[in-house]
Amino acid sequence: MTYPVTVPVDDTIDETLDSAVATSQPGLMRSAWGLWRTRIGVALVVLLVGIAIVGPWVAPYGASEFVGTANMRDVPGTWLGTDYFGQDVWSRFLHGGRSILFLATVSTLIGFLFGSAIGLIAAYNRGRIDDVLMRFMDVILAFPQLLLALVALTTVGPKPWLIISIVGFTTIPRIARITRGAAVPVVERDFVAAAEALGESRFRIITRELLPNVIGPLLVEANLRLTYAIGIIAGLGFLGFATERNAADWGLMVQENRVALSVQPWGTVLPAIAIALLTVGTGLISDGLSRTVAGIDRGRPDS
Amino acid sequence: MGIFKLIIRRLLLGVATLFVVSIAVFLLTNVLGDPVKRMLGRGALPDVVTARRAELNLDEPIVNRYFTWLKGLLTGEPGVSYTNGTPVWELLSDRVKNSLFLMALSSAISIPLSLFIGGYTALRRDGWADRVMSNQLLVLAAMPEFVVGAFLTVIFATNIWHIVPAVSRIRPGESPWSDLDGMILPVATLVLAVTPHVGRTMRAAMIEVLESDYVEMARLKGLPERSVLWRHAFPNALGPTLQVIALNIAYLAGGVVIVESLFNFRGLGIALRDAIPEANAPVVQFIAMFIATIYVISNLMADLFTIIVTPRLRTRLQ
Amino acid sequence: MTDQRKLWVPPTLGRRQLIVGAGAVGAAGLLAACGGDDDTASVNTTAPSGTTAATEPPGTTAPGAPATTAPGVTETTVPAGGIKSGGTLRVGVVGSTNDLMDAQYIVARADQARLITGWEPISNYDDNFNIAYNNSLAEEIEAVAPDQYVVRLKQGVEFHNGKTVGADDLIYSFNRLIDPELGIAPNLTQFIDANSFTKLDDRTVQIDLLKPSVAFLYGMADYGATIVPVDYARFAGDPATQIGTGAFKLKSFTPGSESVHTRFENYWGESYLDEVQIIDFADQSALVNALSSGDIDVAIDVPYAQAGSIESSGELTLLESQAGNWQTITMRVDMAPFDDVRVRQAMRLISNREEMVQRVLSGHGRVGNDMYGVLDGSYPKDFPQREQDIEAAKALLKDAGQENLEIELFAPDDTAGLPEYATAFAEQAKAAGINVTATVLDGGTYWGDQYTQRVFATSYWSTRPYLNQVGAGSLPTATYPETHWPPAGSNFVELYDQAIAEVDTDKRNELIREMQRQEYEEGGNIISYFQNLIDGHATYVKGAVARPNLINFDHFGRGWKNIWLDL
Repeated sequence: MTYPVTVPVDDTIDETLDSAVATSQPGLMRSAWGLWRTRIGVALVVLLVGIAIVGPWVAPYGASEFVGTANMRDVPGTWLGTDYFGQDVWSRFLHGGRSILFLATVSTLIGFLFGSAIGLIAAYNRGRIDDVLMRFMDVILAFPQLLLALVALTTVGPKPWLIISIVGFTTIPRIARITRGAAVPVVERDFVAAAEALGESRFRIITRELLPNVIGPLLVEANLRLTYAIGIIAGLGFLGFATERNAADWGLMVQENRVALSVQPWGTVLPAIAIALLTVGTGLISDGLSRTVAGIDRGRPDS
Repeated sequence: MGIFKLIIRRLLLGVATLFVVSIAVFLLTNVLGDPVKRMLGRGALPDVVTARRAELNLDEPIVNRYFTWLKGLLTGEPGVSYTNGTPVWELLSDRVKNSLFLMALSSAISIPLSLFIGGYTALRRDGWADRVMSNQLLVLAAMPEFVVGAFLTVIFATNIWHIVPAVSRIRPGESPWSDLDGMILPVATLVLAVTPHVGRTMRAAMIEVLESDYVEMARLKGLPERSVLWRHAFPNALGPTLQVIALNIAYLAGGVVIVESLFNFRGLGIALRDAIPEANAPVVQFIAMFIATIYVISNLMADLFTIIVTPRLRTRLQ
Repeated sequence: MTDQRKLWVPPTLGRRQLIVGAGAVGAAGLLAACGGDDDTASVNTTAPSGTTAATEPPGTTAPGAPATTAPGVTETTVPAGGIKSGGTLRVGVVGSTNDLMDAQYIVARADQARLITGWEPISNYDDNFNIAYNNSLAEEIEAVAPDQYVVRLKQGVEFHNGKTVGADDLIYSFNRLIDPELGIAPNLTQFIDANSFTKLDDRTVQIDLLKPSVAFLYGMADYGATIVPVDYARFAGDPATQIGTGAFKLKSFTPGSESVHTRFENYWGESYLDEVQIIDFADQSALVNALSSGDIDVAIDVPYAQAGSIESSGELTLLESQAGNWQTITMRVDMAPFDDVRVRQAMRLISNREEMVQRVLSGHGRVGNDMYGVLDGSYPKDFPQREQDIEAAKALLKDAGQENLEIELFAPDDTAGLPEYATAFAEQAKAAGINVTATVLDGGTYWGDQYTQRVFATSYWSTRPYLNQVGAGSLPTATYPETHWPPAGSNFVELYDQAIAEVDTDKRNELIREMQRQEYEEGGNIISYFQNLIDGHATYVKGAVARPNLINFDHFGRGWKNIWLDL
């Protein structure tokens, strides 16, 4: 499936080229910062990441310190009562942001890097490479994710690297498909043909011409994937695969205390709110970014 | 390339995909460990173990076992559960029905809903509805299913109101239609889980399309806005969204173990979860292949629909 | 239980409960020797003020047995209108598609519920842990000698298919228990083989043991020692094959979904319900939610975390029974560092038992004293209660040269409480300056080849008479020699052999007392608590009584025959 490429010769092409290149410049961040949603997003993410980093130092109790009978709402000396194991909910919350942030971010990054690379290569080269890559992605997608996760974790055990690998690996084909879908129309655009005509290398075309033009949908997807990564890792806790038993971890906390939701809701509600705010934050940022990208790409200001 | 040729090609690809998946699934289930040791426990005498292994054909070479299994699967004899001797089909037939029903019902609600939300918010971009809904979708997407499900239960079934059943109660042998009440919470949870993803994709795609040159062209040509939206914008935005829908359908068919657990829904996800630690290979293999098949089919459908609804692609095929 | 188990292993997510792992199940009870005696049970606590004594429905217990109540439990009483018959009882229990149905073998809680519904044992325990026959099929068992017993069955008891229960069925049932193909109770083969049985008449069988065991009598009271008809086989798809003598006979069974049992009209005793449904739940939260929303009438094994939400509801109530179930941290007495008795003693002084009960059981249990067999009359309740003493522990460790000990403590992820027990112990050990790392393993791995091989691990047991428990866990020949007790040079095995052949209760108890003293002072178990059994039910479900019990929901209402609905 190749399409006739006409070599464009008029000036508008150069403008398009410039604007496309411009998206990868620092201007993107600056433009995005102009949007209120980006600012709120950044504020939320900074707040939550801040809690995750500073929390352990300001927590009144240790993460696994016994403070009173388990699952109690009113325990003297605590703000929000005890969790499933007689530990202070508030202190656990302060301790619990680091690991899930780390696991979710790293696994999403892995999926994002490999997935977008595969998607772009497939879209740009089309033909056989495209076929092979995307069929391979299909096989991964067709393979039940749940089965892969359960089998791997049962046989190897819930190691952090394994959880990162599984979540990252299953994210790859999803990002790849989205990237390819978004990149195919771009490949057909005139400025790509122009770049080819100018003799630019494939790598340069892919990274400088294609990538900036698909970064919008990609960021949206990556943000969703980050959200799901948090959900999946928390869900693995639900299925019994926490990296470390009784580790203070927002995802795990939600699961550990879920049974007691009607008796002592804080253990579940507090980390759930934290996770929600965090993902709303990253969502707003990627929203802002994608709007900015779209705006520059089309030479039209964001409304 | 004619559309029929394309369908045939995609079908063959789908079968090839399933074949590769079947090999992977078979190999993976063999990693799980020895079912006999688990079946018999620690007190078992060695010769009893050997005899039981022979009974299950576990002493044969793996290649032979693979083809025996594949043949059984294709001829409708997927084997017998190692843990309780129940034929796999008998054990799972109700669950296949239930899972398909849950998938169908959740899709039937969440797909139109998310297309509507996505399309509407894209059209009214930055209007109050868009702001409210976009943020709602973000928050919903952010909540793990078991949190959403647990809150729905507390609110509607146990602690605050008692207006819907807390658990699904489809009796064995009965159709899921017999327990529509019990479907409310699982379906609601899944709709809330799937809609943000599809809705956001639809919104993004729709915005993309609305800003594209050809929609501009159509407007410039003076076509009525309604026609621009329905004839040009919507079909083109549907393409990328369909791919995401296909992914979600496969997920709904067998990946919803958490929702099944929360509402005690007798679906395939729980059965898969039960079977893996027991190395109950016949059950694991059957469910895995079922989910893979659903994925391949829904993907095929997504591709076809994409071609049918996208004018550009349609034209190209002719 | 505070079930954090995973699904698959979850109880939640319905992982199988592996009750059989440490022998909480029937078969294991039969194999060991026995040591019960005629004393009254030690657990009877005086009812706290404000608690009314239980009024029991007919046929529940031996007459005159004192009712024991757990604190905070509302008693079931028979209203003026009397017992009502009829209705369908919906019972929820955590189960999975791995569920099986066998009259003599279980793996998980759901299997246990179904076994007790369909089949009845040879004899049974009364509230004081003595042998009784009111909930079982024998009319009488005569202990002729420590190696000879004569079992006479009740007259005219019918199986579900109309056949009368006879001597041949009893012999078949015993042979099935020791059938190597089935592997139900392989260790029973040290006491009986195919030639041990002599049919004296249609309902009387003489059993000659291969070696003396007073424990054998108690083994026959185990709920897994049931009588099945000749040629009975495990469920493989056809409900009609599942023939027992219980008050309810099987109508349908779908593993992972439900089983339906209908009233057996020719039952030898009394029963009230028309139908019992045992419904599988994949997750404990779903189970409790179903109870709260009225979708089931009884929830078996409520998580401690949710006990409060059931208590606070006017329509629901808890049935909390002080049970003898215990969880233990096991130290191998034959391996370093625990081959040094001072290290074992130090470990036992590290455990803060009251904190364990609050932490692991949310308060739903009693502190332990490193001794088991709490419902047995021989339980040494006069041994001083061991308390946490970090200074003494430190001194012992220093003496032993282990003040900087670093050690891994293993726990399985499929048994609620054990990972928490290990984690809490690791936390408490910090105070003594040693570094204990709690490592949680997947249940399949944990109970696999390495089980009983690990130096420092956790386990759980249901309760049984002291000598039976010794046979199951504390002998070189034990089924599960977790602590590898006794240490070299000990006369513990000789004492055991004397005790198990001793018919005189007083003399036997003297021997037992010396065995207990050795275990109390030098043993390898850290038993910090006994767990309560907690079940929830709607207030209209009557007939279950909270009393010291081995099995949930008052022994599943003894196969539901005691249960009735006040609707």
